[in-house]
Amino acid sequence: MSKNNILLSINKLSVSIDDKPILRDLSLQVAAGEVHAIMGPNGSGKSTLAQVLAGREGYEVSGEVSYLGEDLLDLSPEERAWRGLFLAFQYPVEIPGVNNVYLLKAALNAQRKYRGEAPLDAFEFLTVIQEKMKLMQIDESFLNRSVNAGFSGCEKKRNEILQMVVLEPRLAVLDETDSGLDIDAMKIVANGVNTMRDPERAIVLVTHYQRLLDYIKPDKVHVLADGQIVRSGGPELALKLEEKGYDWLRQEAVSA
Amino acid sequence: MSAMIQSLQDNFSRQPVAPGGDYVHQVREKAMKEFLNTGLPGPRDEYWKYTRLRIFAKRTFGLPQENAITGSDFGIKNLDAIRIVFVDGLYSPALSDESAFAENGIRLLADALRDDSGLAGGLLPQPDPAIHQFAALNRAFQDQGVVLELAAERELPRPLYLLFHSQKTGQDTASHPRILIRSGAGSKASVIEHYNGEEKTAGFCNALTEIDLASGAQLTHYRIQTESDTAFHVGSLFARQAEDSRLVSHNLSLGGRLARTNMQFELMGRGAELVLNGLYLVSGKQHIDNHTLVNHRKPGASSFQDYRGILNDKARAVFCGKAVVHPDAQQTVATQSNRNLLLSHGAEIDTQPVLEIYADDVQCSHGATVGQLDTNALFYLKTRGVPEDEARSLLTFAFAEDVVLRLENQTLRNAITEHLIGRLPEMKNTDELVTT
Repeated sequence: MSKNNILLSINKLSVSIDDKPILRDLSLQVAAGEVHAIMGPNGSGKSTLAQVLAGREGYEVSGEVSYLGEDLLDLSPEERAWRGLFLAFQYPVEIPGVNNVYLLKAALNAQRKYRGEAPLDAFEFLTVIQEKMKLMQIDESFLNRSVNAGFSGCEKKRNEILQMVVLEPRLAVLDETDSGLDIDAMKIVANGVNTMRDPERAIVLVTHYQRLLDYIKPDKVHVLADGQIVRSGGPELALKLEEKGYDWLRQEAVSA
Repeated sequence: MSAMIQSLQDNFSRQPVAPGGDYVHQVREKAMKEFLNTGLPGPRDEYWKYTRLRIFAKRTFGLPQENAITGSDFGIKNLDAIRIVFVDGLYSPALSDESAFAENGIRLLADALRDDSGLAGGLLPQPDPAIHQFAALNRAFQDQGVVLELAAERELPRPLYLLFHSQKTGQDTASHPRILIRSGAGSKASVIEHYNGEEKTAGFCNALTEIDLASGAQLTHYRIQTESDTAFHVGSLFARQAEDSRLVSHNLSLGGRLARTNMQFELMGRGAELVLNGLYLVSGKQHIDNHTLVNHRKPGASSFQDYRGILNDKARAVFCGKAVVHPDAQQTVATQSNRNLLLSHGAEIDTQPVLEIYADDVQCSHGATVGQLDTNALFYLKTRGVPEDEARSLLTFAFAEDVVLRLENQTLRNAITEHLIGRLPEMKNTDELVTT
């Protein structure tokens, strides 16, 4: 793949919190059109990576991250959103009093404004969202609810993916979207993600289990352990992990 | 003696002759003596521990005067209500729906005192003037105000909207509006008191409300205070509820340089229910103090209190909510919650939720919280493209919203929403994000 297609380039990224290192010299290239899976045991730094990419404050960060040719670390979370970076949260936040569907409309129009496009009016937006809701099998009553307020764990995750399919990001980072989903919801979510596959777009799946990868076939799989990528490979790597567990790689690392 | 007391004394000697003759005159004289005996609350007064009146004690206030009325659409627009308007402390017949008074049991206070001078003492036992000196002061100046008396089983067809409006062309005066509400058994009404001031009005409004609900009576009472941030406001409210009556009190303290409300509720019968819904929003150098006291005196009554505060800049707020369950009051349900949102380091809240329980078979809870905006929610909104400032305003509004959503009257709810949006500077672009 040519260098021009690189959407996200992470170069020697180190992240710590209160002097405790979480990510160490992590490097990763994600090209347009690719789906990457980042796997790893609990505490390996997967979620921190996702949060740092989205712009969460409170970390000490060094290294370089370039996104669409810009210094990502220099941008605020909202500036990253306007440039088409999307994070699906592991724990979507409940915000009582803030309307779900209007937030989505504001989010979409903020991006359109950044791109110099006219904002969608209420009617145009409704047409868009109804189609996407059908895809995600989300009920109409959802339109008037507050953001994630009173949603079940499953509904919250579906809501994240609904946001993603409406916002059509260039780079989507999905943080443990599969956790807490039953098998039916998993299929719906996976279907939502698969419809997003596009030569112009990249998707990074952060996940603990191989399960989700039965439904979303990644191009590349990386194993994160102790803040570093210890192994990269194709889809077969995920299967091997499922079979042998993370200890296998740890042992290999020790013996090497 | 402070300049303020001096000016009040001067006003007292020059105030118009009491409506209702000698008896009312005597009540006024006695009340003024009681007020002067106690004087303005000082630093050692435990009910005023966190609220000092220094800045106002130095000020002087005149008697209300007849001024040219500069508008005809004061207050909340398009409210379907029986309107009674007072401008700069005086009743304005031109802006009021006089034709609706008689059939709905409404009288101006002066007329009611002429009919029945006994009303000068109020509807309820008089509160201790050593604690409630401002109630005594109100009694000493009684003249302007409204009496609503609903016969048994009557329903007020529209809300009664009482607007006390200060124009910026007026002088700095002291006004003492007095509102007496007597609801007969099984009657139903909604009353909106609105204290409103144009910018830079700096008067002193000392209002008093008495509410007496007979068995099964229902009253929704709104107290909306949107005076200018240079004004001084004191509001006293006393209510008594018989069995199975229901009182919903919405207390929105949004304006004033210094504003204090004292509200006291006596639950006197089984099945009586009281809902206290409050919001205060302070910014700049505002100081707002809400004191509530709920007395559960008989068994089987319930009270539910939720007061929320938003504080910004160098503003200060005080909440003191007390519920007392007396020995007789078994099977009482009393909940009390006070939540505060501090938006700046310079703002300060003193909150004191108090439960005193002298019965054993009760369900009571209380709690107070003071916090900042939820950083997780802020981050979430930002990752969706909402800029920082807008996200902050949005979450602030959402915090207030539960209280606003409880306002049954939709026109009023919209007006308050609009007021809040106007007060939160970054809300202009995001107002459709909120769920109202």
